[in-house]
Amino acid sequence: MNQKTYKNRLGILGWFYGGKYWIERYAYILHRISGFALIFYLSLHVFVTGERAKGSEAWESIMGFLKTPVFHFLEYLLLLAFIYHAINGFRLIFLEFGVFLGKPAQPKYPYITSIHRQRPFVFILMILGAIFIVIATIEYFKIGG
Amino acid sequence: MKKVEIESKLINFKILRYNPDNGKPEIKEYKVEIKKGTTVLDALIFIKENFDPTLSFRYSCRMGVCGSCGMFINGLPALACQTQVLHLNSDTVEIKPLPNYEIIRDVVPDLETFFCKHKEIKPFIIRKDEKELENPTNEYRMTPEELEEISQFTYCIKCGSCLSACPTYATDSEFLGPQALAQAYRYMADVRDEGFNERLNVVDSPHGCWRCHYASACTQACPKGVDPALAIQLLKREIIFRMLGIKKEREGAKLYSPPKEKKIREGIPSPPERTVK
Amino acid sequence: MKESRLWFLQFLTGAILLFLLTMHMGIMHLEDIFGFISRVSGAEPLDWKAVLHRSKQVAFLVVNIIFLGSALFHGLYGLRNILIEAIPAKKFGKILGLVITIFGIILFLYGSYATIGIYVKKF
Repeated sequence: MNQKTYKNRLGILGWFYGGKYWIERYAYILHRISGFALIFYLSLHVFVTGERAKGSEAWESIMGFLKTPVFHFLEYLLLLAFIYHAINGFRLIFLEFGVFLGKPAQPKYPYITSIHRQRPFVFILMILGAIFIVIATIEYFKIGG
Repeated sequence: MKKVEIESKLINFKILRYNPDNGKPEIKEYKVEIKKGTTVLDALIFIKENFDPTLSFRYSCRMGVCGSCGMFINGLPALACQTQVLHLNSDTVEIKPLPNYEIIRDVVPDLETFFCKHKEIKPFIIRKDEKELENPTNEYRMTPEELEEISQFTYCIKCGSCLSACPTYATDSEFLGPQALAQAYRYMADVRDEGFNERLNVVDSPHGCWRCHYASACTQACPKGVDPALAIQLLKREIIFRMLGIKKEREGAKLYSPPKEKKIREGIPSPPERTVK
Repeated sequence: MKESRLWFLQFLTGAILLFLLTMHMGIMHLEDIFGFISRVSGAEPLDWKAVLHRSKQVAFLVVNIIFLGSALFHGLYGLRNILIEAIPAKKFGKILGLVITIFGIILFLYGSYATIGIYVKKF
C-alpha cells in the first residue's frame, strides 16, 4: 500500500468506551477496573499484614497508621470492588464454559443471540449484588449501632 | 419491526473525510432530504452524485450479503445498506470508518490485517487423507444435527464489524479477533475436520481465544447474527475439555457411500430416454 | 506454560477465592454476621490478641498459605493479561511474564514467611 493510511485505533480508551453497547460491555469495563484495584491493593496488603510476624508493637504501629477516616473509606471502596468483581466473576465462570449461552441455531432476524439468553442471569446477579452491597454498607459503617 | 411515522425529514450527515495526500481527517456536513425507506448507503450515493463526487466508500451488493459497506454509524458498527436512516431516530447521522482499522480514504478501512488473521486459522477442512481432498470420490457423512452445531457461524460475510467493536482488539493488534476465532471454532467443531491440533497452536496462544472476556460487543455489532462471542466461549470449552481429557480426539467423518442396491418404490415411472448420446 | 493451562488455573483460583475472600472480608468487616469466629479470642478481629490467637492454629496456617497463593496467582495473571493487551509486542510479553512471576514469588515467600513466623515464634 503506497498511500499514507491513517491509524484509527481506539487504544486504551477503547477499553473504557461503553457508548451504545449493551450492559455486558460495561460489565467488562467494571470487572477490569475492580480487578486492577484489587491486585494493586493486594501487593501492598501482603507487606502490611507481614508486620504481624515482627511482634505486637510493629502490628499496633501499622494498625494505628491505617485507622484514619481516609483509609477507612478507601477500604469500603475496596469492599465494593470485591463484591462486584466476585459476582461478575461468578457469572464469567459459567459463561466462559458456555453454560447459559444456549446452542447455535439458524439466525433469524431480529437475532436472538447468546447475549439475550444470558441476560436473565445478569439481572438476577445485579439484584443479588445490590443486596450484598446494602448489607455490607450497613455493617461496615455500623449504621444503626 | 420498527415503525416510522414520518414520510420524509431533513437529515444532517456528518461524514469523516480523509484525503491521504493532504492533512488530517475532518468532518464534513451535508444536509439531505431523506424519504422513508432510504438506507445510509442510498444517502451516501445521493451525496456523491449531487453534492460531492470526491466522497469515497465501499459498497457492492446493496442487500447485506457481501460485507463491503461496513461503517461506524451513529456510534455502532453497521452495514450501510442495511441501516435505515429514519430508524436511527436522530436528526444527525455520523458516518465514520470502522474503528481499529487504518483509514485508506474517507470511510474506507484497510481490511488487510483482518483477512490475514482469517487465513492464520486455516479456514478450510483439514484431513489426513489428502488424496481424497484433491480428487474427491464421495461426500463426507454429516447429519443435520451435526450441521446445526456449526451452521450459525458459517453465515459470516467478513464485513469487519466485530473487530471494530471488540474492546480487546482496540489495544491489542496481535489479538486474532472474534471473526477468526469464530471461524476457527466453525472448523474445529466440524465433524468432517481433523485439524483440531493444528489450529490449537494458533488459537491457544497469549493473543488467542483467552484474551476474550465476553464483552460480547462483537455479537451486538454483527449484521448477520453470527454470534461470534458464543463461538469463542464454545471454543474455550472445547479446548479445556480436551485438555482435561473429558473429550477425546476424534476421527473425522467417514466417507458416505450410497446404498448398493437401489430399491425403487412401486408406481414410480422410469426416467425418459436420454436425448444426448 | 500453555495459555489454556494458565487460564484453567485462573478459573480454579477464582473459584477458591470466591469462597475464601468472602470469608476473609466477612471476618474483617462484617462483625455482626461473621463475628462468632473472632469472638473466641475475646477481642476485635484486628486486635493483636485476636491476630495472635488465629495465627497459632494449624488450620489457619494451611488455609492462609493456600489463600495467599491463589490470590497472588489470580491477581497477577489478570494484571499480566491487562498489560499484554495494552502493549501487544511479543518480546514485552515474555519479559513481563518473567518479571511478574518473580514479583509473585517474592510476595508469596514474604507472606508465607510471615505466616509461618508468627506460628512458630513465641510472643
